Amino acid sequence: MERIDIYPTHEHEGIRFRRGKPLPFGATIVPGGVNFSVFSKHATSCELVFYKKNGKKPYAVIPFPDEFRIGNVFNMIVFDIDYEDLEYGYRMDGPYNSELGHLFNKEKILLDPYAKAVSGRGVWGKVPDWNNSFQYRSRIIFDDFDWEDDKPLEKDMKDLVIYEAHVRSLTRHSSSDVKYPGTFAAIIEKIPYLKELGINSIELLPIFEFDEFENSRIDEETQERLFNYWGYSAVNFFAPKVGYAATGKYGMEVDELKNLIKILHKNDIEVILDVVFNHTAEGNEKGPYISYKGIDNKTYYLLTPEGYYYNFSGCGNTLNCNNPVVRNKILDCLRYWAADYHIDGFRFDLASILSRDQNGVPMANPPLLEALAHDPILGKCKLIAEAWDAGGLYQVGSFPAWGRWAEWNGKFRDDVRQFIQGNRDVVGGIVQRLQGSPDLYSDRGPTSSINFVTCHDGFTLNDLTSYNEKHNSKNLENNQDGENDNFSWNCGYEGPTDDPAIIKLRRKQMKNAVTILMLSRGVPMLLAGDEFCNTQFGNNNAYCQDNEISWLNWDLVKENKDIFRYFQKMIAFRKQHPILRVEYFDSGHNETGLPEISFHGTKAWEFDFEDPSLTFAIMFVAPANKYGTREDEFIYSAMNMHWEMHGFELPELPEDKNWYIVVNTDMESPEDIWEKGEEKRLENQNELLVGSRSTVILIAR
Amino acid sequence: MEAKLEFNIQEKGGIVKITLEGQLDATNANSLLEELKKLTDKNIKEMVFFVKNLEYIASAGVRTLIFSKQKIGKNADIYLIAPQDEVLEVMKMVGLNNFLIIQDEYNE
Repeated sequence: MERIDIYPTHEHEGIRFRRGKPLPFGATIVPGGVNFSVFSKHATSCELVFYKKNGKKPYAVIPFPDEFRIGNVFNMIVFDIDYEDLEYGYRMDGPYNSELGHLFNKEKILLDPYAKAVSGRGVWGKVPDWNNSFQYRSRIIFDDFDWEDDKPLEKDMKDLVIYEAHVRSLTRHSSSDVKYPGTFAAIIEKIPYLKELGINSIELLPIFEFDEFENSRIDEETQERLFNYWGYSAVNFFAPKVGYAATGKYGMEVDELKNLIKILHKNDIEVILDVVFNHTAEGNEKGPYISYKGIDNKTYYLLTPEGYYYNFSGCGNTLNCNNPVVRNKILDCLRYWAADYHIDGFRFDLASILSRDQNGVPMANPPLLEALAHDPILGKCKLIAEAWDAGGLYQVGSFPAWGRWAEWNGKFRDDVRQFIQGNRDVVGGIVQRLQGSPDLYSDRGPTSSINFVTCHDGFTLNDLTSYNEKHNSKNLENNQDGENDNFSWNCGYEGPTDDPAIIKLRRKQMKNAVTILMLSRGVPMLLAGDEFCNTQFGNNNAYCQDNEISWLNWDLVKENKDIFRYFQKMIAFRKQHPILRVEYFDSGHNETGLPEISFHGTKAWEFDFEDPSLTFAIMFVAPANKYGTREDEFIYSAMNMHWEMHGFELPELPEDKNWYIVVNTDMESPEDIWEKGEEKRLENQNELLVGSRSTVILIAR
Repeated sequence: MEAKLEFNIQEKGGIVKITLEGQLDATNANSLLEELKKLTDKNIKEMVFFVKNLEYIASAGVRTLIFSKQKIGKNADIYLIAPQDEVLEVMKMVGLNNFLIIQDEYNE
């Protein structure tokens, strides 16, 4: 039955409207019309501005009558709107006084902070018309996507193997062999590959609408354009990046992304979004008016007492996340992505900023983080923090968690890199990392630790073993940008080489790294392309490179199928052994009579935790009852990061069992890793020789 | 720029045949929708969209198909006959291929 109680009461320039509802914020389809609602504490008046699709001039401007404002919220219902053909914005009037933090400008047409779709950057890389006074245009979307029986997969955190990928980088390269390179739709074509590899969760670099032209510039030498390629700079938090959708030019990016998520779920792959709430694309005092700056600068941004922007993000401004209005907006946003897009989890960029109060001071119990941890709608979502910010706050191990938050474990990355490089001083750290970092997460459990050796930010794994120094000159910042402390080692030559010994060593080092990653308790994360030696040619900060530096070269899969195979089998090994995937730091003696985790030197059962060393072994002993396996399981891994071979005395096994070799990174493929059931019995059951800079894994049968 | 769409709708014995030519987008989807709405009270068994000469379909056009399914023919089969590659790809990318029967030809 159609409602008869909602009817127009007002008319302006032929447009009929009435009082609206202050909640929900944004534009909501209601019977007969659309409810518009927008917050501004400091605006004195507000106008709704309507454009036809791609229109240069508004076709209607409707001032909100003052009686339509409830508290700080302007709202109205407008009737007879052709939703498909509408782009809308707001104009706000109010004080302009930068010292007080107010930057109102009634000429600026502002994007709705709650817009569910944004047009204006429909096709990636297409130069916008800068003369257009309305660049980022709010759109209304339909809620008619058919999810069938889909819902978030709710996998146990302990079972995840995360694959970090950039939507465009994944399939933009000519070798990708997809119909619409660089798009959401193209990812669907890579699903069989992802399943073959064995990952079960894909973490996408930012996909909220951003402007690739923000700070874009032309390289005079190559005439190539440098872009805001990674997109860590949201224009809007509710709308997907149109330029990532093959159907974006038809206005169907929302459906295309939902379809991708639905199909990933059908294939048992979770979707985690990298979300950036610490700052926006509006930059500093000189940045453009997109939305927040013109709607309520003082509410949305952290400002110094003089009215300047705090810059804890390193990107010009800092969102005022612990202001109750902004906090609720972030909550609304994440709830929307969880409910309407079935997102399985979120990774929060520079999350430590979210713990700063309105003066920028870190809080012990930041209300935003607590609200996220306890939110009913996000109750089953993974919450992952990048537990530091660009303002010097470093909270790895101490991020306020309420039992819900996991962290990118930067210590894991640094320790593993240094250890495989041959730094004996970090062995104590490696002992912790393998156990899931109990030194950092003693009261939170190993699933708080997202373990990784590489991520988008820094060298790829191939480059970690091929370059001592970063090579970022193509970023046009005189090689000043990007991390200097990479703990990378080129194995004897800077960059690509034909030297077989160096090539062999690099491959071994890559295998050593992924072996430690897959053997460690906690949640492993891989960087897309590392499994086939993808290179960024030594660039460790490719944030602006929309070219072969960033695009994954799929030809390398064939060229490096030994590395791919190794990754694949190591992931499978992890999945086969529940003792590696746990929620508690159980390491003491269990019902086998042995410790669940023990450490050994070159002599069995002898390991000096105080002594710097490059040789040690870890043994996991898993009772069948506890882990639901057919029989008790033994995993012994010897790590020799010394440049010489070492013999390891093996711990004695129960009488009916023998040691079998699963992994030896010193061997060439396919003898570097054996499939389940194919493992080779060790001839000498008492001593194991481990080659230089090599890792060996044994199991008992 | 006004996109050009020509359409023709015929209903006979619960079978609706719709021929679409040109470009179906926000500028013209409404007029098609208005015509389709006239069918809502009829007992429709099949809706057959002949789209061989439809060059592209934007969001608004897709919505008219969804409307057809939900409001007109909940229990009807919706056919899409001879879509061009571009149109077919759009259907697949937004996940609409599930509820459409896509064929090269329509057999009476």
